[in-house]
Amino acid sequence: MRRRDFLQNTALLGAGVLAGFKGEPEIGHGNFRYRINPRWCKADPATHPVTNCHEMVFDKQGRIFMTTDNIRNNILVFNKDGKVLDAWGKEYPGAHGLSYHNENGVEMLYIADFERHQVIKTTLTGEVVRTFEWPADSGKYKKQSEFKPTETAIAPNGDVYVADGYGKDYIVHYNHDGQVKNVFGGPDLLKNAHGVALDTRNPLKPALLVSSRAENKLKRFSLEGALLDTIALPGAYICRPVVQGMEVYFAVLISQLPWDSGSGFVCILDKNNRVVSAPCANAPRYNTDGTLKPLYQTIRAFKHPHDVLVDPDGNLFVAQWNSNGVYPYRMERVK
Amino acid sequence: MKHLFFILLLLPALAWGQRFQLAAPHLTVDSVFFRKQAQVELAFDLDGSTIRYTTDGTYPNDSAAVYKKAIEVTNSGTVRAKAMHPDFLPGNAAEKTLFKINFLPDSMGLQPAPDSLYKGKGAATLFDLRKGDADLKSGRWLGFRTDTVVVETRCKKPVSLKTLQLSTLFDAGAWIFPPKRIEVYGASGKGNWQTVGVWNAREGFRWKDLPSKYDQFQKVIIRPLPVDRLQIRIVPFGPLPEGHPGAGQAAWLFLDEIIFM
Repeated sequence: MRRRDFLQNTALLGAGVLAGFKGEPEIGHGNFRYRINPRWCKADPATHPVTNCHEMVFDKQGRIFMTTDNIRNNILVFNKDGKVLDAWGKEYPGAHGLSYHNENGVEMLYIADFERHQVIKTTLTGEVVRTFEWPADSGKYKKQSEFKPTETAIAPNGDVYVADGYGKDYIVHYNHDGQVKNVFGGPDLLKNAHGVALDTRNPLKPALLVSSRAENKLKRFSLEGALLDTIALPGAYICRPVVQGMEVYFAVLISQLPWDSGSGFVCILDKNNRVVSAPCANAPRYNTDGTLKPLYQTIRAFKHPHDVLVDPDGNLFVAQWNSNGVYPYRMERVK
Repeated sequence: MKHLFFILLLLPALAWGQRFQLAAPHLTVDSVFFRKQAQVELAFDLDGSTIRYTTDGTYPNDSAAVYKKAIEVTNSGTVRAKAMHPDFLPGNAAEKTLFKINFLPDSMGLQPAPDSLYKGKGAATLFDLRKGDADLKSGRWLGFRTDTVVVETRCKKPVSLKTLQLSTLFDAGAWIFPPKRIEVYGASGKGNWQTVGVWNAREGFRWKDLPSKYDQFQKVIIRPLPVDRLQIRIVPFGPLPEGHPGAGQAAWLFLDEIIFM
């Protein structure tokens, strides 16, 4: 190659790379814009296979724990760069909900397994500490198999709220020993109660945020089980709400039926529970009466997002259900 | 040398990494079944995007009409729309087929009655010009788990249909399958019934991995004889096929509308 050609080509290459980076689109709205990296996770499907990726939490050290219903490794542990650090669990065929709770310095996980019809509390390395069983004496259930828990939320006092999202849509309130204190919600108030989270944004009045997924709504309940208010989010089949700072993040599995339509996206609410950004969906807009215009997918970066994990810098990790066995994607926040 | 040049030209595309595909535009229609006209609205609220659409049955390309305001539809046909954006790969088209209803019967009857969970308003639901959707209990769908369903209609004045279409549902997971056979008989005055149209399902229906379909129509070509009575006999799918969780048990039949054109 002649020197002049080389220079010319190198210049072209440089310009091309620059143009490429410049062209990578930012996805989202307002102050919540992201660049999506589908190749964040370095796991090898041969050694650490996933079927559906369900939910993710951080531990104290910033490691990421994830549930998958692949019984070769129901729990995968990643570092922030997507490298697999640990893998355990072969006995959780319906490994779904995953919550983290720091119990006076001892870190605990709560795995909601809808196929085992129970919630299992474990250490970070998988030793079983306790199980939370179906509320047999509540009169709401005839048999154990009707109870198909999908999610847990842990109150500061160690009480556990379990959402029976694939069963009868009740929220079951246990004490930390696993004794049932209350059963509320249910099929009249919730349609597919897929997620539950503790809403601590008003520290004086902690409440529960529950997804009524098939209704495209979030419903707020008091810790005693009284319905407080409803947030209508048409087009958003909400998996579980994740409260981080003053915002609520959630994965939207689909924006239209059928359930395998591949029409999902990610959504962020502000402190007033208004949509401020809907990455991969239309720009959120409100009617004059305060109702939200329906949300729908615009960018097919995701098929069926199932959970969102938010890191301290505001970057997101998104796990997906029924999406050809993909590992979580990372969404880098654009500052 | 020339090759190297082209390789270098390709590099920006590689550096770009992932180029995502767009979704289909959001399509809403005031009435899929209409007498005079219907309105189709399209939305795709993503900065820098354009919606292009067709109403002539072709697939929209770069030169198709740009959507600016609601589309008025006055004839039966399919609206297809695609979103385009310079930063993303084009996606699938949204499409909706609309039906101009030329005739409505003056009275109708149904045998046997639909299942009590999905009974709607009986035979009238089949001619109410309201399209059913994914909500099976909306009252717009009639659900059957029986043998042949027979619908009889009367028109005060004789009509000459060209086609009859049946709006049905497919949802393998819910055990709902399309019909196997449709027979249409016509009669005029005191005359006898005569066959005016037959439709048969294709052999070897590939139901596996097929997504649910709420927009599914079976089209029966009708001999254009003036008739004032019509009898439509709808034979359900029958036993669920092998490989289905309910194999051997009867499939459901869901009917939404009978369209006279």
